[in-house]
Amino acid sequence: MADSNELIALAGNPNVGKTTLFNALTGALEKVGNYAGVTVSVKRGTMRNAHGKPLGLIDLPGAYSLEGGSPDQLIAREVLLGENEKIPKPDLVVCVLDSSNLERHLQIALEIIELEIPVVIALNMIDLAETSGLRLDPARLSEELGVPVIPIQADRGKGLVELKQALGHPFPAPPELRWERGNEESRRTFGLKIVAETARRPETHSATLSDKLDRILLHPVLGWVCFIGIMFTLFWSIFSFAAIPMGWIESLQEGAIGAVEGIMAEGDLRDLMTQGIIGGVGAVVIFLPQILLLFFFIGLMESSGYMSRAAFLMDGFMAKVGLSGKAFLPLLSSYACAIPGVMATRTIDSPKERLVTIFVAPWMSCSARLPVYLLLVPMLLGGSEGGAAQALIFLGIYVLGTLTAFAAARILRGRLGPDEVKTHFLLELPPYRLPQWGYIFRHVLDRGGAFLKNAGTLILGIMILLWAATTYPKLDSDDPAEVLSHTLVGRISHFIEPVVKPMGFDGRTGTAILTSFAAREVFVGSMAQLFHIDESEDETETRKSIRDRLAAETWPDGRKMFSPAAVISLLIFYIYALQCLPTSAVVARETRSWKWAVGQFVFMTAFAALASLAVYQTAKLFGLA
Amino acid sequence: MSENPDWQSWAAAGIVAASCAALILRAMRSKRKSNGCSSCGENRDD
Repeated sequence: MADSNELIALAGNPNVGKTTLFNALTGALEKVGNYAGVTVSVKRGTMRNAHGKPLGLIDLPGAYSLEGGSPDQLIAREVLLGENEKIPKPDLVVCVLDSSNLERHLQIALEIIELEIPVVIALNMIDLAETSGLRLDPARLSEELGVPVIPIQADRGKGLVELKQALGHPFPAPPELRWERGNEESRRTFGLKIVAETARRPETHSATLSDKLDRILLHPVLGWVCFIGIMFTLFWSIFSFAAIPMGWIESLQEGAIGAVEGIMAEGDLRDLMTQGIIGGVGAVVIFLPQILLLFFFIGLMESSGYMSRAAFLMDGFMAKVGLSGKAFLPLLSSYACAIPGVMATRTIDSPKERLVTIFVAPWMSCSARLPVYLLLVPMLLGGSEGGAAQALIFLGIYVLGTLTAFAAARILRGRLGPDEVKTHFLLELPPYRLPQWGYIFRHVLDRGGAFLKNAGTLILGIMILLWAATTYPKLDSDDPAEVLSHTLVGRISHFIEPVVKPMGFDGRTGTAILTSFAAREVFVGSMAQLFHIDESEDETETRKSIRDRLAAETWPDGRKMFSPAAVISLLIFYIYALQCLPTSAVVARETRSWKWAVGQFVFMTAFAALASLAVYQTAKLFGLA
Repeated sequence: MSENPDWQSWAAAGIVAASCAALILRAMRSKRKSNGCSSCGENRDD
């Protein structure tokens, strides 16, 4: 935080651009999106005023009023009232308002002014208001409210100099109120009066582009067709567009293996580098382009305003499973990562609905599962990558996880009993906006950097240990199978094979599953190592060759080991298993109970194993295994 | 080039031991600070 003791808070309704302003003032890269409820915890940073003086800056979750009931809104209220134990009362509040919707957004500004904290009002998205024909008089508004009012456009950095100047000393003194303190009706009447005096609207109201788009995207039938079409395009693009950069990574990997083999004599260190490090880590890193594409498309949906439309479409369906449309936004966020999804449940007023949403969120397939799906799905299609069939299977995987989550939510919601707190789903449908390209690209690069960092730390460490476990203790034999069975992995595989065999897996696949409890994507690297058969063959450690090797594997009786039934069984396991310790830690924190986190882990893992078993055994009955 | 020189075995064993230590340190760090999501770094404490 700042080396200054002075603290400035950004407050206002949800989705008015507080975090965009926070990022612009501090240079941070906090998550932004064009829907309500993106920020659910207090973000901290440091900014400088117009004279270069450092100031602490906090970004509060959006709140429609200081009496809101959901956990995120309670935090905003606590901080503004100086009741938060960890964050001191701010010295000044920058109240961010959406210029095109002043009637509603002024209400919280008036509530904050009543707290007698110095206030500066930032009229954000002034460009959109002007485009729609609205003419505002900030000077008059400032006069009426008794506080500085600065028009800004946070996403373009416009008006920030003026805003920083307004944050210079002395801070503006709290004004004399022209409405009755604590009286909601008086506040509303005053707000409407000053908006009437300071804002001039166009005489005629014509349908905006957002209105026209919503006629299609929110249509009871066309809306669903578009939703499914968008998701299908997303998955198809992930396969199609990523092929070229994946080829580059493959070539790099092959080149690196070739270089090591050219320089070093045969030996343990060379094996460790080629099989363990380059082969194992490379097998995971190769999926980086697809992960980046997933984050890019999710960023587009979040930034454009489509997320709220998807939640709107789902509201009726959500009601049938005992949840409100409000719960769908956290679930949608979980497609990128379950952690922000679980944290986004703070926007839900009802504690029971929130608990149910947290419980089922990990069944929305996150980006960490992507490498596993990308390895396995083409095996169902004879090894070929790309194409509509693959995108359809992908869509099916995501739909299966989502529908199971809804079914579980319905059962759990019934068992938890009725709410003490009545929940209301008021969804704001923001106007569509052009995506913030700069933010999206920075966000995607940030996530890509984190993925690579993880590949260079956790996955690298596990791959090295796995190499050791597949190498030691050594046996002097020419039979690779005999050598492997003598190693630690061979012994573990032998031990767990009876447990995993009914699910269609041999001991090595079972071992790869075990290693992926550290991180799901480790599975791909582990499979690359554990099914590395004969290094004398001129095979490269590429995803295709992993699939080739898996496709060639047979059981002792000659049956194909990775039959369609076994591959589907594996996919089912990864759709349902909760193999993410960081998610469990966040669940424990958000529910304030390790019991929920442990219960969720045990339930989801057991469910995954049983579902996998049921699928494989059913397929076996029909002779498909 | 000689086959399986002894120094390679020792070097590989050293790397394996260092990796063990690094993973243990990482697990200990996660008690104080969150390592975040394994895939995308979400919720990481830096």
